[in-house]
Amino acid sequence: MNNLFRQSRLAISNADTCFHCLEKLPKYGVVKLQEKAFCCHGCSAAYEFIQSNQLDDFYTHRERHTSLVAKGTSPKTGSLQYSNSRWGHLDDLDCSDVMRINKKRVVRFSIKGIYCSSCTWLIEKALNQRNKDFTVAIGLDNQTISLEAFSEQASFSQAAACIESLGYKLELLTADTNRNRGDARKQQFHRHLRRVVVAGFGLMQVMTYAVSEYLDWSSARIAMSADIERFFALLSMLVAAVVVFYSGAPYLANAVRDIRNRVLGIDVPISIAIMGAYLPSALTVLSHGQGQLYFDSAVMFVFLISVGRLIEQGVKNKLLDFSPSLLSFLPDKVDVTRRDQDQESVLTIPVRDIQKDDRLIVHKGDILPCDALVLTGNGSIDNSLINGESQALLRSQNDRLLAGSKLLSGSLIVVATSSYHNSSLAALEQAINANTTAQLGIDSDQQRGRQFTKFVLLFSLFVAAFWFVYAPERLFEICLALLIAACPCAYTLADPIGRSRGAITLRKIGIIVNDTSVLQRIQKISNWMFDKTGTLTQGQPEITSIKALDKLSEEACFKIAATLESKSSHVLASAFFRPGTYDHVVDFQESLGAGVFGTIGGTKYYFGKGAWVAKECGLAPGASTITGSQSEGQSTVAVLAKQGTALAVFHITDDLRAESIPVIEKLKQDHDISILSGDNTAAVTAVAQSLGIKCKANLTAAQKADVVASEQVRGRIVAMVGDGINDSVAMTRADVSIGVLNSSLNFQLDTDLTLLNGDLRGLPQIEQISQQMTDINKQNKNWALVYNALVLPVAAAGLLTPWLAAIGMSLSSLLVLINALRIGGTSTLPKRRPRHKLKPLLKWS
Amino acid sequence: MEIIFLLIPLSLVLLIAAIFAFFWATKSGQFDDLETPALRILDDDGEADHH
Repeated sequence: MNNLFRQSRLAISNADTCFHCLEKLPKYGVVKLQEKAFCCHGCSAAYEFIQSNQLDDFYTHRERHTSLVAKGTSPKTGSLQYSNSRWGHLDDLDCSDVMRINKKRVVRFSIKGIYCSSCTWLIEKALNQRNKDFTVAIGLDNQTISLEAFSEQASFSQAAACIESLGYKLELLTADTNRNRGDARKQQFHRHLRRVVVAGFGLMQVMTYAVSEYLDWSSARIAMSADIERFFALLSMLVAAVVVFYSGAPYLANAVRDIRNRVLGIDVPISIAIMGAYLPSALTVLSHGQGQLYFDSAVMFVFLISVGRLIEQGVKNKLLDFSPSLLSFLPDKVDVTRRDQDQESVLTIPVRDIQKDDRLIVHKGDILPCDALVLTGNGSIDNSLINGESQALLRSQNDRLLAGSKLLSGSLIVVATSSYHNSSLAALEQAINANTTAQLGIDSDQQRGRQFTKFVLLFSLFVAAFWFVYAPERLFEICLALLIAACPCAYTLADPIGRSRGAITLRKIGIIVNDTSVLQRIQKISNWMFDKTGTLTQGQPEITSIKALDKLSEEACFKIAATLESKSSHVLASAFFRPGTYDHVVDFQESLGAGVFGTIGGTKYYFGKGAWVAKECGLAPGASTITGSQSEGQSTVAVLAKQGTALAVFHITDDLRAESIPVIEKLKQDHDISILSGDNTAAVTAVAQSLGIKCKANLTAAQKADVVASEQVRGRIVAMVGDGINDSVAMTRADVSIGVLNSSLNFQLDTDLTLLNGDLRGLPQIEQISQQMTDINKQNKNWALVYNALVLPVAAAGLLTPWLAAIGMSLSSLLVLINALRIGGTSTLPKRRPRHKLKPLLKWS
Repeated sequence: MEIIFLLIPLSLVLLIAAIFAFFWATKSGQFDDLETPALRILDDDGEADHH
């Protein structure tokens, strides 16, 4: 059996992808381990860890999309040691972050990067091998993990470190974290499931009992005694009561609420039909009266509706829980020095307790949780989270920093100029929330559904009046049949089912739909606006070529350059970053705007702009390969040299994504495309020209939103595609917001749609599926209206019995469901990359 | 036919038992993850005391 898995694995990892994370290997700096290639030391370390624990079955269990985010992030290479410092406080027996449930200690984390069951398998295995102190429960759907300790000695910090060493990112969930919403949703799902099962069991019973009603006893061989008949009637009433008042409770409650608020929701006629079937029948039984009993109709009705809603709910549960807050990637706790009545004390406090005038030490890689002023030190700052500025900025004493800035290198001591809640980051998040709530409105289809409901109720009243005059004994039966037949269930089902189906189809090609209501809007989009860095371009400067000019090999030159650049703050330096150890550099210096130099192993190397390097090393200025054009288009040239000898020429670019051109080309045919970027004009124009589209550069987050709004005023439907926090204000303003999740960023934006694999090719597909979905939804709604229009006069004429009407209703809904299944069907869906196939016997996905 | 007065309530008791079993199952998380348990059987390492 294992061999089969191994074979299937060969199919999914191939020569140019990282063995662990399946991402494309970088051109230079590939890490080799046991003849396997890895993109970085993080991944190789994760691989080593997995292998040293005999967990390599992970690589056979996983599916293709496992690679999406579960990238090795272990900071240490070689030997894996747990750093307990981050989670150390969890081991205190009275730590407030540890919950006590049934006297057992429980810690819950939200976990990023789990996408399929092989991830849960890996985590469970790894934890159980270390120590069997925990019960592990992993929620794939809401991305949480909870650890329950068996003993007081169990170390949460070790367990957490163990999970993080596998490459998953943990974030502590405390009682007040809003991620606990996931729990509430799960419980809601459970309640729903129970309601359906109770209704289903009840339906079976009541249908059986109802046989006594439907059979023609005069022709049967045995006669049914009146006692038995009454016995069945009583039992039916009892079971139906449970179904109606337990399973049907939400609809009845909704109907009461709707009537109080004077709106006509779909639950109003549903409740009238349920109660209309149940109450008179119960009265008949209790009063020993004669007449038709409709318990079976009532129960069937409740069952069918619950099933429909459960399907919808299930899809929603799976798809909705994907938008952690913008603040969620800040650290949980920070160390601050606080002055209190002339006494200074060092405190470890949660980030939200930071106050003005607290002093913080910011290390390389930290994200600043508040606005601050630099006291001492200097370092390079990446502001891309806040304003999309891709250029790193040097900051030193008395410079101001914004919350959300990331320190790329160096270390700083800063003093907070705002509390956590008054910081610019918090303000940005508030702006996003405000925009989100402003967009909520009533769907036009919902409105039409309500009008239809109103019409049905009025029509029933009219019909009832007619029958009251001409045949009062048939009044009840006919009104019941009419209400059931005219219930616009199929109509109201069409949209949600179509949307869910569309969302599922998109999920399969790596696009998460956070708000299904946008799916209808997508095909109306007239303007697409793109962020540049990280959206149209890869967002990571990359070395496109190394040309060795001397005896040293390209690999060796890369190593020297990487060693020098590891100390540099230049933005292009990140092209050289590979987590891991570097050679020792002495006398390192950076010449701003020119290059870096330092001594490695006794030789002094220079690395930077051609002209500068040529001058410093005394090279012949005529060597045009070296001093040639500094940047051709987007590509930057850097030269590595030692005294008297040029060693290598590097070309570095922040490339357009390979798929940007065809995608833009395709979208350009019938849309307005433009770039909104916070980057400098030159870089943006270069990209815009190569794509042949319009652009606006140097925009702040708010200005981007203004551009979107100005187009909307002109009646255009705008889609905003971006990858950073700096786009999020514009995104929430846009009619459709699409986030591109780069593998380098481990958080997800609060967008309508998220392209999980950062692959823009999804965009035309989204449009296509949206178009297909809208067509099928329209078809479904038309069909539902035609059905209702046809059946209404039939029922009004008294030609329809209630049970026939109930069957008709469920059949019309069923037809809508089956039709909706066509969304994402192969006939119109673009071809996907082939997934690895297993023998059918072993099918598990 | 009088046996029906006994058998049908009996079937109802069974039904109630089944419903309670189902309620217990949802409560104890049997329906939370429908994928992983199906894969667990494929582990070859034969660890017996897996919870």
